[in-house]
Amino acid sequence: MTSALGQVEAGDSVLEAQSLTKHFTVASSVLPWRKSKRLHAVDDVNLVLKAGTITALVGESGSGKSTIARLLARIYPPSSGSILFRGSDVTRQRGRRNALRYRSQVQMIFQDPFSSLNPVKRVRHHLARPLRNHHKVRPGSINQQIEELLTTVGLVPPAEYARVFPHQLSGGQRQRVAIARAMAVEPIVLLADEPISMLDVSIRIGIMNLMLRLKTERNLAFLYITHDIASARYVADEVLVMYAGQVVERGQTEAVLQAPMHPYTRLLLSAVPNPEAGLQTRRVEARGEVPTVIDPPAGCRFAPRCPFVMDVCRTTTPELLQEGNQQWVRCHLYPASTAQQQTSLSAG
Amino acid sequence: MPSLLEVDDLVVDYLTPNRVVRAVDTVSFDVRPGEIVGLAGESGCGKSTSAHAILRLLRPPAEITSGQVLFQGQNLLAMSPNELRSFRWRNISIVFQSAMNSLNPVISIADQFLDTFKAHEHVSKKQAMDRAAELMTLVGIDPARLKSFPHELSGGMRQRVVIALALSLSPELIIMDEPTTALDVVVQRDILQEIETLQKELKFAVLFITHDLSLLVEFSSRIAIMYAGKIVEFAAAQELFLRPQHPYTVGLMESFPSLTGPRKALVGIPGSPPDLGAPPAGCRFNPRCPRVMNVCRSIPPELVAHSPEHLTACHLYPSSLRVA
Repeated sequence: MTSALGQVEAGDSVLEAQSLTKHFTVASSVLPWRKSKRLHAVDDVNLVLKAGTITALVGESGSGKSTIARLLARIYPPSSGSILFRGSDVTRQRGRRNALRYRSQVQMIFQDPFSSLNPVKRVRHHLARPLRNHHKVRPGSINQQIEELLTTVGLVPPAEYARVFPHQLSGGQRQRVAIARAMAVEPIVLLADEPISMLDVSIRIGIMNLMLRLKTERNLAFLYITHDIASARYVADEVLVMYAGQVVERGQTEAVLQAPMHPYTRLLLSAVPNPEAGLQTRRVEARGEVPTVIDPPAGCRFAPRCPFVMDVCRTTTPELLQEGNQQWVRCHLYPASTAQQQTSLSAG
Repeated sequence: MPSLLEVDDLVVDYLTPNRVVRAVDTVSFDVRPGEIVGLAGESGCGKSTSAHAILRLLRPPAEITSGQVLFQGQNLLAMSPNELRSFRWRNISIVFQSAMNSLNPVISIADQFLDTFKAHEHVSKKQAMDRAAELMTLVGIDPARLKSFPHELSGGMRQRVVIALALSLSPELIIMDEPTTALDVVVQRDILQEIETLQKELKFAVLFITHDLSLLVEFSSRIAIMYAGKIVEFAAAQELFLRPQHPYTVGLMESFPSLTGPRKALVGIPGSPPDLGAPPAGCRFNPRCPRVMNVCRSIPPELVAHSPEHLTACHLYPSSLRVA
């Protein structure tokens, strides 16, 4: 696949989601004859992962961000919409051969390094397996390849680390092994689902710096999923903010974080602990939590919690529209949305 | 100001068949009436073990080997089981990290309040329910939710219920062990604001345990930093933030990416915390310390005052005032 399409250049779009949607059926177990409901986990998400770029997907639990990672990793089939890998639609591909080929290019890193490694196998086993399964073993010694991988992720001396079991490593070291395993097949896309949230504060930066280095050195397209918006600012070039299954704002990281437009992005930013301001100086007034979206009515999903809610918000779902140079927002407060509204009204 | 809680040279060991792991090593700190003291550190540093030791909640293989815990002059470690039972919750209550696990899943919220009141005082059911409704209102939940079961409430609401339960007997001190760690940031802030408001109104003291230092700086009056079973620095929150002394504290402060200001490269702290079964000789931070000296590898530094309200256990800061 790679050979046919040639080398990936920095900035090339490699993985694209178009109107990606995932609904789960929630059947009533008590009254099975009742019409089942649908949980809108991910609704109409568009995103582009580019080589040499880290894209952050930020949101609270229940916002659908992990479902997106699983859709992109093709663990779940989407309900509708498509996934384009280097321009070709992979959504309807079936079969083990296709799956293997896809996974040799798109790899995933999970949140919990304590359960994503096999406790009874040594580190070397974890790295040898993907190399063999994906026929990436170069002539010569597989040991040398394993040692190169361990060195890449900063586990030196590599020969020693290859010999140990996961329980002999700290959380940060285990996550490095998981990253080395994902890197073994020389992927062009890495999907990282909360890779640092289980780690101690003092070692998180080390993992984030490793991500930044891999992005540049290997020209990787990174999807970084997190609930920690400050860490997104540290690593990401672009950011998408999710709320209740929808992307509510996206754009260049600095643009979005320094001048957030959507009321939810503002709420999220103001809630982050900030030692430079006391609690009293900026109290946040927005009670409530991310709702579970089962058969949602029309309208903005943030409307019940929004301090700027208008009548239109309760009846019409806002679109994600470009507002300003590098920023898109799904909110009726902004003129692009209003303009769109008027066009559709006059057309209708 | 006299202390409400005084912990002196507390030592807790985990006794396993093969070895002894000293999880808490000569830890001393105090909490004054009506203040919020933060105890911060990474996983395995002994912060939760210290908190549980204060209320004598530790189970084997953990054991309090030595030290003193004084609450208003009373030694908690010398109390009989009966004394302890009436003391807990009335004088010191505790909020655990996982609200789902600290509420009984098969009884209603009302019954959980009822249980608490019945265990400690003679009140009629009517009186108890009135108090429960008051407490629910206090933490911002509709008293009608008393009829609900824990699974019918959201994570944030459950944690509010747990806080209301902790307040139920008006204790002087509440120990909060990572009360917001399992929650989303918006809910976390909501609950912290709630705690702060209640604390100002009801004047209880809080010992707040967390791994999130940035949260403590905003929220507490004094902060103790723990590393590998020892307190390495103890100072007023703003003082600690503006003038951190211990290289570990400095490293922690530089491990949090900032949301404002210029984006700059951070280094974190290289290496990882030691195995407490075989800690390094001298200062326990020495293998990771960027400013390590020869003395650090052999002699453990003592927690001494550099200025009256700023204690640091580090050879870089020779003692000017010795703490008794």
